[in-house]
Amino acid sequence: MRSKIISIIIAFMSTSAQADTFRVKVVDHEGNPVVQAAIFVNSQVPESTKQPKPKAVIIDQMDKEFINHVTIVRTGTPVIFPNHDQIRHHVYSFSVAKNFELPLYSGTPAKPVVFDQAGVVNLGCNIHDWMSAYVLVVDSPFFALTDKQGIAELNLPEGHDYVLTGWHPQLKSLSPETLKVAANTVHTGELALSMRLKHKARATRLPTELGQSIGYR
Amino acid sequence: MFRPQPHLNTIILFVAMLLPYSACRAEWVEWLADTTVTGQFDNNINQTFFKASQLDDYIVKAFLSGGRAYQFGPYTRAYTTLEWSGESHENFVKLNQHTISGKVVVVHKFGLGHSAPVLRLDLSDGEIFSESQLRSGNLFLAGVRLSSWTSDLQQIYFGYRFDNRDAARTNMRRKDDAESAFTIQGHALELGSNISISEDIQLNLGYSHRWGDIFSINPEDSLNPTILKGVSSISADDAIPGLVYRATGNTNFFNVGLTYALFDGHAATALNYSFSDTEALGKAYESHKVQLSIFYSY
Repeated sequence: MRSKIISIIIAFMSTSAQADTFRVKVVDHEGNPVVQAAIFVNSQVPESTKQPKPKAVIIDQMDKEFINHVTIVRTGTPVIFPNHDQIRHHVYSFSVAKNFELPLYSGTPAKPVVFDQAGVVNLGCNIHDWMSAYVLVVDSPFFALTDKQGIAELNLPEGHDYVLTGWHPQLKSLSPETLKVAANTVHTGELALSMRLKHKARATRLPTELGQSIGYR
Repeated sequence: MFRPQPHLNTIILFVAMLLPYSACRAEWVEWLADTTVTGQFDNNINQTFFKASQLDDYIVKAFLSGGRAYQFGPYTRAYTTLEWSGESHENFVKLNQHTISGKVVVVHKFGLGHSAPVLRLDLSDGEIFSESQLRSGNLFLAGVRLSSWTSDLQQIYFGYRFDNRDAARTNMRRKDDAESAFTIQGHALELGSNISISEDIQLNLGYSHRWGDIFSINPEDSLNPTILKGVSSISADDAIPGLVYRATGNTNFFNVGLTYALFDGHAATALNYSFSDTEALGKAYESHKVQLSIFYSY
């Protein structure tokens, strides 16, 4: 028992000694925090920091919406699309990074969809046109999404140089376009990114009819 | 006075027969329940062409709809609903009425994706129960509409609509008039667009051109022989002072509205303005309406 505790402590110490936590604050052009912006390493990751094969990620569907408008995954990640509605969904994407279709289904599909190419994947449901979500597929194993305060936390193995960048479904421009993190440099406080965002990126969901309903419910 | 309701009976029977048949063939079936409450101002409730004779009114409307949606395969969907709508007028209480109708809608999407065109066919048949004996009767509506998202945020549509209303032949001024002034039929072509302004706000723009029968209520002393010769039916109205007549005319209808989504899109409130401009018997009939509505969809 004692040896087990010691080995856990050693493992924890070695992990914390090898990684630095970087906080990146993302704001829009008015200084407001940007929620669900993706921050990721956009440079070659040293061999020594290579991570194991990515685990499956879940993108849920509830109340005729994708749960999480933005998901960031590493290249090769299997993604499962469980449907928790009582009706069926028809998930698809025409994006170059992943073109796929899950025809009408309920429950959890038997096979996950493997996102094997870096890029932006725009998801939709063919039954419910307002349903929209994005998967950002990156080659790096180091990424995070910003929280409600617009802050993303990345744990980066120390001793290496990194180039960080950001993405958002409504992104028009990013300033600066990249953030450089140099090896063995002490970083205090937050790194900052500013995004100019397009006004809007998805259709308004409204009740059926509205006097002159069109399309699907 | 009781009048037989063959159309309503037929459609209710049809809907009832369709329910079990459709349910066993559908991919899935959903219950539908929608409701709307509307407050409306109408500046020309009598639809007169004399500006001086225009009468305005405030109307409260309610709408309830319940039924089933059936998904047949990946691209086709049908709705069968029973609907009730009612309206209460502040100034002209004899215009108070309610309508019970059955509706069948078939929607087909041509392919996969947000921008795939959607064809919608709808048939509705109902019975109007009005405080005004002249206005009670049957209302049949049919329409076909093609819509498509031209971008992530803009949807356009165009379509054709047919309306047919039958009313009791009563209070007739001329024995030779075969039908009531409220027995009218019309055809309309429509086009419009819904534009997402934000995740919660949508702008609705619409235009339609209708041709066919129109009715208008005017003071008796305002009707000259030329007009009387041109109308196809004329009666003494029992709801608004004056005579109601039927004529053939063309109407241009413009609509602009803003809709604000509530409760994650399950409900909405909408402010709407519409202007209609009718030409019949060489006269112009203009009407402005402002509506504030609250919608809820289960």
